[in-house]
Order: sequence, then C-alpha cells, then structure tokens
Amino acid sequence: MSSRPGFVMEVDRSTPPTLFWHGEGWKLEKLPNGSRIIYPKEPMEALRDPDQAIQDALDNPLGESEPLDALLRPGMKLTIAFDDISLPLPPMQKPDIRQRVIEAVLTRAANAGVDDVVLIAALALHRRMSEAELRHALGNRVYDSFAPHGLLKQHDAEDPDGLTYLGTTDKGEEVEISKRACESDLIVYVNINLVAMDGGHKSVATGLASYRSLRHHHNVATMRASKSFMDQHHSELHSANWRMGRYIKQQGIKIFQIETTLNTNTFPSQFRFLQKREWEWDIRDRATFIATSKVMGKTPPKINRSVFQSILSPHAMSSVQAGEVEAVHERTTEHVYAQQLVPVSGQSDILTLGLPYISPYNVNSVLNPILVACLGLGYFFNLYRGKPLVRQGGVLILSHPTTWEFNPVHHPSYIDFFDQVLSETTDPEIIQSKYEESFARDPWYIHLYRTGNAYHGVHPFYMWYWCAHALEHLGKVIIVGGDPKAVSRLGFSPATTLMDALEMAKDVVGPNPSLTHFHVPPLAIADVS
Amino acid sequence: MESSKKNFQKAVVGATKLKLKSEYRHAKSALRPSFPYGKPTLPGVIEPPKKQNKLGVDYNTDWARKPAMKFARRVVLESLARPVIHLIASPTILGDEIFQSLKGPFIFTANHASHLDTGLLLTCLPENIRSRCVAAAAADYFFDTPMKAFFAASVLNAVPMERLKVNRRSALMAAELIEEGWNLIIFPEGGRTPDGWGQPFKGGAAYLAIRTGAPIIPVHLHGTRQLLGKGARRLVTGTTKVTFGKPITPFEKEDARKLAERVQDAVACLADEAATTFWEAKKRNASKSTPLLEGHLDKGWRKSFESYNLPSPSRPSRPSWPPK
Repeated sequence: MSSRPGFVMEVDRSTPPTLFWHGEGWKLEKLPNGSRIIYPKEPMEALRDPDQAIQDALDNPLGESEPLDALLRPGMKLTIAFDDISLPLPPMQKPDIRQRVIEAVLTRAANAGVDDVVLIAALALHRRMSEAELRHALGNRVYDSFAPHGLLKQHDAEDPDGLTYLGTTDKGEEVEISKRACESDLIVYVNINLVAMDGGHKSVATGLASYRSLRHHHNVATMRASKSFMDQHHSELHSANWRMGRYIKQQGIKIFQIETTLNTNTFPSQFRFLQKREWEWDIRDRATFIATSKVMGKTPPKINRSVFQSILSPHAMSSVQAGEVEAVHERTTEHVYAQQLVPVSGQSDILTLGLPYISPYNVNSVLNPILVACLGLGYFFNLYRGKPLVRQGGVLILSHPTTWEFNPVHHPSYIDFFDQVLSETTDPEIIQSKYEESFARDPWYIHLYRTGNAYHGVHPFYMWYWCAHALEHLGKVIIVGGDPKAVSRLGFSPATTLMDALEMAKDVVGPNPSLTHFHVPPLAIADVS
Repeated sequence: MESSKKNFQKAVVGATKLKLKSEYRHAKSALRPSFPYGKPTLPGVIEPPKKQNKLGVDYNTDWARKPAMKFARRVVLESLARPVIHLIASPTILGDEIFQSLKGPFIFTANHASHLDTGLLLTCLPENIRSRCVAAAAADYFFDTPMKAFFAASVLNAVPMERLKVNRRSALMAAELIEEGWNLIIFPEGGRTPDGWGQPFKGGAAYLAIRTGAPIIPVHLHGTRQLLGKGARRLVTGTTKVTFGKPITPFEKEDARKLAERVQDAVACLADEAATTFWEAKKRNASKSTPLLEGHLDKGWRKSFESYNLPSPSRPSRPSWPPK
C-alpha cells in the first residue's frame, strides 16, 4: 500500500489539539482557527531485501564508475569511511544500515584479496564515538575484526601527522583531509541520507576534513547564503563542498560513494502516536499519550532522558545507490525529496515548532540551549525549499524546556561559549570575528576532542552559525516553556504558554497574524511556493 | 381565532422541542471527555474515513492462531467439544491408520451435510493433526456478523472462504496457511446438501493442492444430516461414520478441475464403503460402477424423496460376551 502524501491542513473549530514536541516530552496545543498545520508524508515502503539491493548497487554503479569488484585488487589500499553517530536520528534498530553496507563491501574486498583495509568514522569536528556506539553502527563482526588491530579509526581533524594538505580550490578554499584517505587507492564512503543536506561531496570534503578546511564553509557568510541547506542548488554550503569535492577528485583521489536513504518510520510502535495525525489516534494512542505524559511528569528528567535516548528507530532503507559521487547524490536526493517534500503555498507571519529531545549532536547526551537554538533555527527552520515558511521579519515560536544544562564530557566548549560569548553578544558575525579563533585553537579543547569524547572547541560556534540565516530572517524568536534565564541568554524571548507567545508575537507581526505549525518530526521538507 | 391559538401552541411546542434538543446536544458534548481522554474530533476539511468492511472474506483471523488462542481452543476442544460431539454423533472412524505413516500438512476434503461436519471431522482426527487445523468456512455465512465471525475463528479456527465467486485473497490466505504447516479442512461442495445427495466439487481444494503440493485426504462423513441437516431446527443424537481415504497428490501439470473430479470420485467411493463394505466398494470402484454422490436422478422431488432410502450408519455390532 502506498503511503499517504503530506499535506497542509487548515485548523477549524473541530480540529483536535495538535501535538507539539517539548524536549523529552510532548504537549497538545489548540491552535487558533485558520492556522495551517503541515503534516509529513507517511513512511514510504522499505526495500524488501536491503541486502540484495546493496549487492545490486555495488554491481551497477551510477555515473562514471566501474562496479566495486572491478575497483578492488590485491595489494591495494582501501579505506572505508562511514557517517558517525550524528546519523540517523534516533539511532536505528539493529542491524544498522552501515553494518549491512560495510559487511557487503568487506566481503567483496576479501574475495578480491585486499589486505590493507582501514575503517574511518568520518567525524569531522564531532565527538569520538564510544565502543558501544561503534559496535552498534558496524556490528560486532566488523568491530572485532578491525578495532583490536587499530584498523578502525576515528577521524582526527587535529592530528598533524594524520592530515594531508591538498591545495586550494579556485575560490581559495584550503582542502585538507585525512592522510590515510589521500594515500588510499580507493575510498569507499558509506553514507546515510536522513535529510537532503547529507551526502554528496560533503561526505569526504567535510567528514574527513580538518578545521583549516572546514572553516571555509562553516562560517556566517556561507550559512547566510544557504537558502536552504536542504536545497542543494541554493545552498552555498553545498557549493563550497562541491568545489572541494571536485578538487579532491582532481588530485586523483578515487571515491566510490555508497548512499542510502531511509523512510520516515521514526518511532517504534510503542510511540506510534508521534507519527500519526491526531484525529486518527485510536484508544491505544490516546492511552499511551496520557500514560507517558503522566509518568514523565513524575519521574526525574534524567530518567526521562535515558528512556528517550534508548529509543531505537525502526527506520528502514528506502534506497541504496553507489558509484560516482555526484551521480549517486543526485539519485539519493530524488529519493529524499520523494519521501519528505510537502507542497506548501505561501509564507506566514508566525511559524510554530515543537522541538524533540534529539539533534545530530546530542545522541546519548543533553540537548543544551545552544543545541536547542541550532535544532530550531538551524535545522527545522531550514527544512524548506523555495522560501522559508515564515516571512521576513516574522516570528518563530519554539516549544522546548531549554534547561541550563550541559554535558561536560561531550560539550565542554559549549559551556564556556554559553557563559563567556553569548553573555557578551549573540551577533554571529561579531562572535566569529572576535571569539572563534581562540576557541578553535584552545589546546585543552583540542586535547579533549582528540583523546576524549568531546566536540571540537569551535563546534558551538558552528552551531550558532547554523542559526545565522534564521536570525537574520526573523523578527523575533520565542521559546515556550523554556528556562527564562537560558532562553534570554540565547537572545530569545521566553513564554509560559503558547497563547502568551502568540500575544507576544502580535507585537511584532501585528494583530490577526497567519500561523503555520510544522508537525515534525517525522521529518518533512516544506516546498514553499 | 381557535385555529390561530392552535398554531401558536404548535409553534411554542416546536420551539421548546428544538431548544431542548440543542440543550441536550450541548450537554452531551460537554459531558463527553475532551481529547485525548475522549475520541478526537474530525477536522472539517478531512473527509470521514470510509468504514472498511472487516467482515466476510476480509475478516482477519490471525489473532485466532496466536499461541494463547491455540491453547484456549485446545482446552475447549479436548475437554468440551470432543466429548459432546462424540456423545451426540457416536462416530465410527475408518481409515485413520493412514496418519501413522504420513506427514502433513493435509487438505481434508469432505462431503458436507450438516453444521456438525467440521466439529465431527476435527474431533475424529489424531491429536497432533487436529491441533493444527484450520477450517475453510463460507465467508458470506460464518463471517457476516462480528459475533459469528468471532465464534467461527476462535472455536473452529475457521478462515473465511469465498464460495460464491473466485476470490484471490481467500485462496492466497489458505495457501499461505498450508505453507506455514496448517492442515486445512474444506468442503468442496461449497455448502451443505439441500436434499441429502452430494453436489459437484468445486476446484478450490484441488487448486490449493496443486499450488502448495499438500496431499488431499478425501473424507466421507456419513449420517450427520440425520442429526442436524440443513433446515433442521433440532439437534438429535445418532450414529455417524467418518471414513478417511488414501491421500491424493496432483499429477504433474494436472488441471485443478481434473483433480477435483478425482477427489470427488474418491469421496464417492468412501460413501459406498460407508454404506456397504470396503471390499464391495472397491469392487464397484474397479468396475467403475460406484454410485455417484449426486445420485442418478435429476433435481426434483424424486431425488429428494429417494435420499431417504440412503442407508443410515449403524454402530458395528460388538461381539457379545460371553461368546455364544
């Protein structure tokens, strides 16, 4: 049975209250009559036999690429790079898609007599993955075959001996990536495309790059010129990555890209109501909603967090393609759009969003206030193609507890960024020019990044830059139910209830504003005309 | 003057009724718990979902084959249904020794004269077979109301089978069950006999045998019409005879219609055996003079009339003790 498409619904008197994510929980909110709600498309049908689909993709590459078997030979250097813990969200139920693909690639490499194989987690400036996380992503078989011999590496963007400077693009962007990758006869990149922003040249040019290289596109100007990240042809972030990717190719580095897409079956059946339309909630859905809401209201937040972080998504593979990077990514993007695009007509004065407990940078961790801002303004605001859902000067209302809480192991530089930088200014340009360098070069943060499980010192800056386009576009940002102190530090306005927030928004956009609520996750991309 | 007074009274009564109605509606909606404690209301722009017909051939019986239901049915079958049916029908079982050397799943095809047939056949099967048996039941008769459907699925482990037209869904479901290792009881005549004589066998069972490779076991049930025939209002006790034939497997590239004919012939032979003896039936079968299940007369009162001449099963006489 085909899945029902996403659609835009106008709220009327008989529309039941709408689900808003609220961190590690949710709320039902009654939206004013005449508001619009964007509902995502239902999950597309998964591939019946994903393992066979992988084999087919390896045998029938796209673009100017030979089949994988023809690229493998005895005595060669093979590097298999793969996406890190930031994908997919939430982490998927076993077997992880990376395990399936990497096992298929390794089987072929073994048949071809390839001995020199190294696996690299393409972290860029993300935190190193724990053993359990690696085992989950790769499976025990792969982990135990490579990790004990030091052949399962995590990319180190600060290792002076582990990086190779390749040169600059025609726009003067420095390209520096993993030395092992550069020296390999073949890089096989195993990607997961959760949103249209992932994959393509971004996989290697970002995932295996150094700070020196990344700063050329992870900056305020690039982010502001990316409208949006989900629209490759109007995203400067993509353009920069594409220039770098093509430059890498020109240097003779051979990449065999394997990209996979997932359907939006995001939550297990216990939480199925989260991806159902409210008027279709049956008695089980309502009972689950009430029971979980009541229980979560009584239990300590830490327990709630550990319960939520233990959710494994039943995501299923909806496509897999392999071969030359650009040809592969074009096909992948088609699949992502087929699942996620929802046509929307026109912008509105106010956009409301419920933010969940998870973002790419807090898997098994805390969604701290900076990540709240990044999730709302960097990711969800950018889930559009064409025009933003909210007009220039409009108001964005987010729903999230936004507690003043950080994970000191994963996000040490975030704590200082929040205390020292945001207390001075929230202007991305000033932050970039005045503070970025000192955080990026701080030896303590570098040490924690390289040896612990910490995000790089510059990472909170990048999170703030992700918000730059939204901050420039919006007239006001209001967070409902957030800790007033933390929300104020972000430069946003706190509100107790949605009704209060709507009243506050009227001061900016005038009386009788139009309102759009984006009912995500599960993820969707608004195709705004 | 009088008429205007009456009109006025009518108008007052009408207005009061309307007001009461709206008050009642208002009170009712106020009493109804709000979402999520109560059912959600449907937004005006959303078309009300069409009620899916979950009865008939679309009735989902998966739940009836879950371990808990299997256990419950087994308890009911062994402790209640089997003793009661055997008390009512006092069956004599012939030919059941074939199960000692055969492995299932099987397709049991029997003649059909009574609602007792499924229960009787089921309870006459060896324990290991009857515990993994599903019965094909008429979708339009046993699955037309929720209560009947629940009873058929839970007690008889019945699955809906379309008998009025060819239905891919019911055939596929039955085939899947056989492939999963379930034995299937099916009455290829498509319904109980109206006059005591058999009806032509339909090709469903034969199709399933060809598709799944499961052997067909022909069965003849003798005497059930006398206990609870079609149209009977009362259940009476009596004796019955259940005769199992040798398994029939389809020949290579055999047509379902041809196979159905072979099965019908086999059941006719068993009917003859039930009425006479194994040896006599075999001899008649060899000389191709086995009486037809449908009888030799055309439809009509004479056929019905003659059906009363069909022999009733009798309990085999036990040797008396002490021997005379």
